[in-house]
Amino acid sequence: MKQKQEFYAESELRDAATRLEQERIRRCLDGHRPSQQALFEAYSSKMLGLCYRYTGGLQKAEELMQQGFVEAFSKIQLYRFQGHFQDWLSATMLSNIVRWAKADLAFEEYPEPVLAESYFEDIETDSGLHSSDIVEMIVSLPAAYRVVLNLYSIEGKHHEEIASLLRLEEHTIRNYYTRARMLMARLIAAKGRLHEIALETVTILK
Amino acid sequence: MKNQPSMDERDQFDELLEAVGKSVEAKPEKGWEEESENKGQIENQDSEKHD
Repeated sequence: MKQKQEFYAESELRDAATRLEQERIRRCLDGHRPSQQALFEAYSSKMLGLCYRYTGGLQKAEELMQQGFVEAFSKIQLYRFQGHFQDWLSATMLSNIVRWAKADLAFEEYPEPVLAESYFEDIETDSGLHSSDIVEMIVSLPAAYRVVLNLYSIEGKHHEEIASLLRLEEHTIRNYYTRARMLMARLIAAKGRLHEIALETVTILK
Repeated sequence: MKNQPSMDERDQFDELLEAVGKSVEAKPEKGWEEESENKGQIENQDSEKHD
């Protein structure tokens, strides 16, 4: 009985939070600054984390995040209240990140495929790893590798879609992914065992 | 060498990276008010120059 009451109380709280957020989004349609600020405060840490995974540096990440919020608020009428606002905001951030990657990063065409034998290297070793170790490894990759690995492994986009986004050949994207994965495998092998990682929110401290 | 998934098949490695990657958070240095006020000032300066 108590569990049922707690469940309904939590459910009501979630509904109230959703209604409050939707009201804030509606107010943002009129450029209401306090509502913009409230949404910024609610999502900026997550959005900065997203940008940081791509840039590998907090200064550039914050610049991209701020641009992303400006863009999101300027076209917030396109959010149709279908799906979670965070997903829509993340997609807007990602468009901004892809524009930056296309303009600022040097992607080379790789005509030769990487050898298949080295594609799936064994990445298990003997000691433990933390989520923060993995994040540090991702951000330490060369920029173009990091962008492709983020888009494929973390965002879940297909090679073909990434090629289209970055205006590159699909085989080039596959090679970037393979090379990024090989580098990650080496870094992980040097530090720990993949299946022992305890997942936690990784907070990047300055 | 273990069984190799195809090039397009997501495996444990990708799933792990997804879980870890989506958990990353960082506290911004500037707030929204501060940033948008700066933008407003820059825009005002720009419009003054045009005038």
